[in-house]
Amino acid sequence: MARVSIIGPTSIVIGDVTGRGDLEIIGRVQGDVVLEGTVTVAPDGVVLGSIRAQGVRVAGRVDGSVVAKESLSLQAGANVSGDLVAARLGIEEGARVRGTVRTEGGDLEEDDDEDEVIADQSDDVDATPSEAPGGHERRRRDRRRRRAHGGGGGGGASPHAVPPPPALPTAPSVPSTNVAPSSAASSSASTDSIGARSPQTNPSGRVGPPAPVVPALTKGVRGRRRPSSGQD
Amino acid sequence: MSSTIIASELTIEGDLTSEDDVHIEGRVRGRVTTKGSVELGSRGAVEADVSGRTVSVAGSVTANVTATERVDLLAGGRLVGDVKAPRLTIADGATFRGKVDMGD
Repeated sequence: MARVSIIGPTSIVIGDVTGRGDLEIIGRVQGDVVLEGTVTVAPDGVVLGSIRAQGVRVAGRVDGSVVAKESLSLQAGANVSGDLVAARLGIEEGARVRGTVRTEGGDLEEDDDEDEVIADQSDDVDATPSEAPGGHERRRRDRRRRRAHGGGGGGGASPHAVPPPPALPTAPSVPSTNVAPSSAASSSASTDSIGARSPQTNPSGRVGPPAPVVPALTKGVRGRRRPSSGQD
Repeated sequence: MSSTIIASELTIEGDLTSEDDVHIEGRVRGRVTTKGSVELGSRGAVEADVSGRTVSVAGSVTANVTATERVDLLAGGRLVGDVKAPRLTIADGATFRGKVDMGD
């Protein structure tokens, strides 16, 4: 018996989904999804609630946190308003994230400030279109290499460097939309190379406090409704 | 091929609505409403009202069932609740307790 469940394109679930097996959401779920298996949110799929599973792949929209015990991948077109926690994480170019990002359970690196991102990845001009989900890791390596070369010249002017991603590690808030890609890339580049590149001067080893929470973005689940009847 | 499938180890704690066919092998603790057909497999269970164009029950329904075309209660199926549909079949070996309304 196949254990693959599908919420079809015209289907709406108002309530929580739990259990074992894989689940593909092409329609809409207004509630939390807790699954021992892999959850896939298709390009037109919507989840207004959190997702917790072994593996999660998002190409659609999630308004809520996403926790993956194993791997989490955001594909182009994904739109997540909520925190991401996963042992392995991949964010493709064209995916949008508003929330904090944390990798845990895997081999964590010492500069975990790099992991806290409030950024619109769709403005990321560093990634190539064909980039696999592992591209996030590659970008981090690039930035570390720039730091080793003296912090870069601002605006990604060093000959081998591609423009850095708009990570804005300590920015209190980021406009969630309407950031022109070119200005976002250059302004974040200067912030990147001047402001945030001195973790060794901080005794705690971290760069400033964790990024402040943006109320409108982490409020959680907008428009979510719990079933008011039909329950035990 | 149903457009929506609730597999055997999945539980929905709430309502499911759709425009297309729904196949349930798992458990829905809420209403199931679709404009297509509802197929409740032998391991499926629904604990609130079911309505669709056609509804076939090989599993368990503990609520009212409404269909615009037909309801088929298959062998091994169990239905405790009222049925409202122009056509109803009950297979040998099915369990049914409730009222039937087949219209005029």
